[in-house]
This record gives sequence, C-alpha cells and structure tokens, in this order.
Amino acid sequence: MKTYAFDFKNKIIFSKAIENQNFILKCVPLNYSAQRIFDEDVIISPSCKVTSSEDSFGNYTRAGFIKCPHKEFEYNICGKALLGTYMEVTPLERLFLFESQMTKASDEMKAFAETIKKGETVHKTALNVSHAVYEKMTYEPFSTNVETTAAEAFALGKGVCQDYAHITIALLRQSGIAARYAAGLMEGEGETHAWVDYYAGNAWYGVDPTNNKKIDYSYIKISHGRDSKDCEIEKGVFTCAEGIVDQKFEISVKVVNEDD
Amino acid sequence: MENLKKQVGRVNESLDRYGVKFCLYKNGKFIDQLFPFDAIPRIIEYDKFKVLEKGLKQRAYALNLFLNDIYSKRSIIKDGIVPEEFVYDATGFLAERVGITPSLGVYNHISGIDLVEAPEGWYILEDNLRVPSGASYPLIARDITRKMSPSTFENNKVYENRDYADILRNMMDEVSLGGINVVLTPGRYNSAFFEHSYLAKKAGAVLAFPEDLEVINDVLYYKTFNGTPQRVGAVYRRLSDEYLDPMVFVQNSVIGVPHLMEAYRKGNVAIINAPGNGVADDKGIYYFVPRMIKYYLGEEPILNNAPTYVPYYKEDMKYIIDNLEKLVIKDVSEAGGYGVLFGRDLSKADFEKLKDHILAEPRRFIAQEIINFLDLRV
Amino acid sequence: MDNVSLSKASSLFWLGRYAERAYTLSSYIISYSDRMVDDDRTAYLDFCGRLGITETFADKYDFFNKIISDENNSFSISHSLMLAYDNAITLRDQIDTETVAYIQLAYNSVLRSFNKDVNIMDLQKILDYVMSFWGAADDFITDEDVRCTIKAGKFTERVDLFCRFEKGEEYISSAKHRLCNYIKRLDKNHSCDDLKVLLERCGSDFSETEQCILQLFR
Repeated sequence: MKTYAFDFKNKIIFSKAIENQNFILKCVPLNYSAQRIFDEDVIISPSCKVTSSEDSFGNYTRAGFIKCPHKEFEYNICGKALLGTYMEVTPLERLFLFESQMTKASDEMKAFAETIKKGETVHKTALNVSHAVYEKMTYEPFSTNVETTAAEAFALGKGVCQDYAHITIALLRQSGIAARYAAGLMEGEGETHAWVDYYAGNAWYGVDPTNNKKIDYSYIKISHGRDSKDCEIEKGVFTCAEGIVDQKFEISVKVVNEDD
Repeated sequence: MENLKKQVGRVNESLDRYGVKFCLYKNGKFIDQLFPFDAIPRIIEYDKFKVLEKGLKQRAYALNLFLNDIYSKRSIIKDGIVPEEFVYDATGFLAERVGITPSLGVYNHISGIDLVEAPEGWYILEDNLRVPSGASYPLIARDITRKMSPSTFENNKVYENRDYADILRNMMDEVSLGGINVVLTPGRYNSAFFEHSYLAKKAGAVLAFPEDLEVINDVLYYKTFNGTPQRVGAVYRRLSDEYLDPMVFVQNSVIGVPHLMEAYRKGNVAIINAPGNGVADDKGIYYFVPRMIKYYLGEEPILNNAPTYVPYYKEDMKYIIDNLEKLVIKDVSEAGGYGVLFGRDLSKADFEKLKDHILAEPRRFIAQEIINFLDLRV
Repeated sequence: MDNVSLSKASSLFWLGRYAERAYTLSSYIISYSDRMVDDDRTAYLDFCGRLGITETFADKYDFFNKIISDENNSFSISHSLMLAYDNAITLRDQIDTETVAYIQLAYNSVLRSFNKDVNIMDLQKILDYVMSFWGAADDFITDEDVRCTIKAGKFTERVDLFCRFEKGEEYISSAKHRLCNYIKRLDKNHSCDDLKVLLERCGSDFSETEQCILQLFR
C-alpha cells in the first residue's frame, strides 16, 4: 500500500455575474478495496448548503444551490488516499458490456477492432487494444470537446484522454470485454485524467491508453460509469440577467506520494 | 342512438366552449386545434369488457413487476426469459435510476395500452408506460354527450368512466411521500396542455410549471406567492425522462427541475410515472410481455400480442425473410409511427435492401403480421 | 395563497386586467361609434389619443376593424382577449373550467364575428361573455385570495382606463377605493403601503401607481 496526498481545485470565472446556480459535483474520490480515502475536505465557494449522495454507479455526489449573484465558483477537494494495486474484485454489472451514448462503434472502428491481435488472456487483449489506440491516435489538446463521441474522435484521429478512453472502451466492448470509463487524478501536477477499467475473471483492472500502460499504482479514481457522461465532475445550470456568459476554468491537480 | 347521431354537431360546439384542444406545430407556426371527437361509440359488451379489463390489469401488473425486476435483481434475464441485449440496448433503459425504489414499488401508475379489434379478437399493439396521454378527452366527451343526448344513456346501460379523476387523485395520495400533489406541465404550448390543466383541476392537484418548483435539501417544494414553500409529495409529470432534471439528464433542459432525481432517490417525492419505464414499452421488449406474464404471475396471458417475430431468434428470422411481403417491419429504435414499413408496399430494390438490413442488424427490427382492423358497426 | 405560485399570481392579475380591458374598451367603442354616426366622424382620433395609439387609420371603418379584430394591434379587443385567454387556460385548477369557458367563448366570438364586416352589435356578445366571466369568477372561485388577485388586476385596469377617458370623479374614486382594498389584502409584505397616497394624487397619469402595484407580482 502507498499513501498519496491529493489536492484538486477548480475555479470557474464567469464574465458576468450569475445567480440561481444549481450544481452537482462528482469530485470526491471513491472508496473501494484498493483505494481508501481519508482526511478529505471539500470546500465550495460561495459557501452554501450542500447535500451528499451517491449516484447509481456508487460515485459520490455533492449537490447545492447558490441564489445570490456571484462571478466565481470554486470547489476544492483535498485529502489522502491509501492505494493498493489497482483492481476491484466485484461481480460484473453486465451493462458495461453494451454500447453507451458516447461509445458507439462506427464501421471504421469495428474494422479497426478486427485488426487488433487477441491476446491469450483478457489482460493481454486489453493491453493490445490500449496500445493500438495509443498508436492510432495523436494527443492534441483542444482538438475535441466534452461532447465529442468515440466515433467522431476516431475519425478525427486525435483527441485528449477522454477520447482515448472512449475509443478504447468501444473497442473492448466490441471484442466482448466489459469496460467502463474512469475519471480521476494521476500522480504529479496537471489536470484531471481519464482512463479505462476492463473486467477480467472476477475483477476490474485498469489500463491507461493515453499513456499506453497498464495501471498499477498512483491513480486515484474519482468516479466510473458507462462513459464520460456518467463521470462529469461538475454539472450546473444558472441564470444571468445580462445575457450570454463566458466561463473560464482554472484547474489545478496535485498528487504526491507521501512514502518517498 | 338515433338521438345521439342528431346531436353530433352540438357536441363539437361544446368541445369548443370548453377549449378541448390539442396543439400542433405546422410550418413553424403554433396551431390550437379542437380535439376531433366522434360521438358515435364503438360498443363493447359488458362481458367482453370485463375480459378486456382483466387482461389489461394483468398486463399492466406484469409490466410493473418487470420494471421492479429490471431495476433491481434482473432475475428475468438470469433465468433466460428476456435476453439481456434487449434490456441494455433499449433506449428507455435508465441506468441513472438503478437502485432507487419507487414509492410502494409502483412504476407504471398510468399505462396507455393500445388495442385493436380484429375479427378473431382483440390484439395489443403496444404499451405506453412513459407519459401516456389522452385520459382527459373521454372524460369531458362523456360529460358533453350525456348532456346532449340523455336518452342514449337512459336507454342503454353505459359503463361509467368519469371516476378516472378520483382514481387519479387516490393513486397520487396513496403513493405520496408527504405534501401536496402537483401536475407538472412543461408549459402552455405543449400539445396536451388542455389535458394537463383539466386533469389537475379534476384530481384536485396543483398545476405546476417548471419554474414553480424547486428542490431544497433533497425535498421538492412548490413556490408560493406568499413565500411559504409547500412540500410536494407526488408529482405527476407530463414531460419525458430526459428533460426531468438538468443535473442528471439533458443539461440545457429549461423545463426540468434541478435536483428532482435526488429528491426522488432519497425517497422524498413520488414521480408518476417512474423515470425509466421506457425499458418496458420498448418495441423489442413488447415481444416478451406474454412471457413476462407467465414468468411473474404464473398465468396465461388473457390478451394476445399481435403475432410478432424477432429476427434475433433464428427460426423467426427464417420466417421473416421468407414472408417479408406479408409482414409489417418496425424499427425498434424509432417511435411514434416512424420506422414502420409494410413489406408489400416496397419497391423491389427497397425490399432487398430491407432484407439485407434485417440480416445485418437483427436486433434492430421486429416483424408483425398485418392485422385486419374491425371497422365500426353502425 | 398557499397553492398559488408567483407566476400564477401574476397570471391571475393579468387575466383580470385583460378581461377588464376587453370589457371597458368594448363599451367605449360602442359609445364612440354612436358619436361617429352624426357629425363627429373622426371622434376615433380622440379615442386613440387617450390610449396613446400612434397608428393611423384610413377612416372610422378601418379603425373599427382594427381596434376590434386586429390581433397584432396591442390595443385591440381581440388582442386583449387572446392574452386573457392565454392566462386563463394556465389557471384552470384555480378558477374552474366554467370560468375559463367564458373567456374562451368571448375569444371565440371575436375571432368568428369580426373577420369580415364589423357590426358594432356583435360587441354586445363580448360584453355579455366577459360579464358572465366575472359572475363565474365570483361564484366558482373558492379561494378568496385568488379572487382578490383577479379583482386587483381588474381594478388596476379600470382605474387606468377611467383616468384616461376622464370617466368622472364619482366612478374613478369608487374604482380607486376598491383597488386599494384588494391590494391591501394581498400585500402581506407592505410594499404598497403608500398606494392610497399615490392614487389620491395621480390625476390622469396612473403610471407611477401602476409600477408600485406591478412590483407585487414580480
């Protein structure tokens, strides 16, 4: 087991004052056999009454409402994570064998899936798929957006971690391997990250197609679901008396191994 | 009955007075239209009606058990009665509601089951379990026809249908989790707005627009003029799942109520009908309803489905391909009469194309025998 | 008003205003039509002046046509009834189906009677229906606050129109008095406490008082 300290901040700056903001956050990391979260603290500003819950996939949610006009919205989650080897022994939710909204395979993707070599084990096949996606795609920030589907990103040939994950999930499901989307934090400094869980035997394992590797340690999972839509870290609606509002995000993520 | 025929014109006059309307958009313009109503009834004899009633209750009950099962243990899948792909691929399957138990275990409080009469008997055409519409029209039409032609009702024993509003009210009270009942309408320009306001009035519920509702600390409230929010115990919502809550579904929905699903999850409000019912009225699932009745209730179905084939099963596929010209083919992903093709009406090229399409994507289609509707005997 | 939301309170208020506008303007049109039978053929200009209508009309027939049935003219009878109807149908649960039906009937009659030739007598039907609407409102609405809100709308409109048309002190002060009573009942937060003073000194310009009342429904 290894202990990591994490600190994740997102500040949204609105170009004009907004009000009546309803929000739901899925920003608190999960607890499961290989990941224990402790000393965690969630700070939301402007401060407001927040209710806690879990969604249908077991992800933690924080919901709230801010009535008064404000120009900034910030949430900060920090704490410690005790991580074992990345895996989760649990019965399979068979829903993860089926296509979802963001991960429908196009004909081109189906043809591409045919070209990927099947391994002797599910693990090998999953790594092969992840590797194929890594080779096929070019990492290019801002080339896609949060609404880009697996098929669109695949046709484009480039994208970010969300797109890599979507395409990998679609291809794994094509080959009959259950796969789910995972959102979370990686060791180091930067932004939030997305990767893929695949099911083998009686457990979920992780693979990170963006970095072309099997996941062992140092990945703190915040949420998982069918695709990115189930793992949106922040979702909100608000009103603005002055018309259209621009939003600017200032995201910072810091994960440090405390054992070193 | 002769007397009723003479009064037909005045019936429409009366529908006009009460604004019994439904709305359409035509060429981008909003048009209010009177609801077309034929005062001459289709007569169903008492004994036959009792069978129909029993059969419909049986079906609605089995569908409710199916929904309970699908959103919890899914034993019908494990027992191999319904193949899992028919459930997980159904557009109406709502993963977001898994783990939420609705008040009293009721999902399809209101079921709109479409029937047709053929010479050999009644057939079920489809089930509507999401937001079925139309209950208000027979109520007001009965009120009016009784006024126009009392003798028709004096001389014939006609089954009373006007207790619907009371049943609706009782049902809402029963599932309510404490507070007032509201009918949530997406707005004045919805095609069934008349019905929303009429049922609210008749069932003693408050007609609420989305902006009248808010969720505070996981409880749904109706915002009032004098500032004291009224707790809502049951919401009869007349908008579809995807617009219900922008926090969970379509984010730019302006007709939804933020955090409504959370209030629902915490067991603070009953939603009528339950979100996620679409998985049970899916065209692909329809085929399995008679099997559900046997599986859950251990009974033979009282009412039959129209003869249906799913190409997913090899023997059905063979039958469909061999008999395509006498079948009607429905695309399961389409709704509202779209994606329905009659084999006999297709050109040679389209016919072959459809065949290939069915062979390539068997899960996407169902095929049915064409039913000869029984016309009204007047 | 335990079961009335702000948006519905506002609909109730405007339903009252538009119903009253349709009624009072219809009765004025009838009396202006009488004046125009003889010498005073352009008396409609006076009517327009009092309402601030800037649109020009070819003659009195053109005026009658448009002021009654041109839905796009915001001062027309059909426009008022259309908006009364729009508000009424959202209020079926508060004011009863029968009450809504009279607004529906008034609106139907303006749509049907006036699409070709204007017969001033047809306005009588509208007066009858709107009057029946007020009767139904009194009879069928059980919640007193709901009734008061419609009446507050009615008398807001009436004071405004009476002032504009210089109806006579007796009528105007009676209307003001009733308006005050209704508002007082609804104004639980005392935002219109100086309404009486405002009304006393408003003369023919009602706009300041109107703003004060409208705040209640915002």
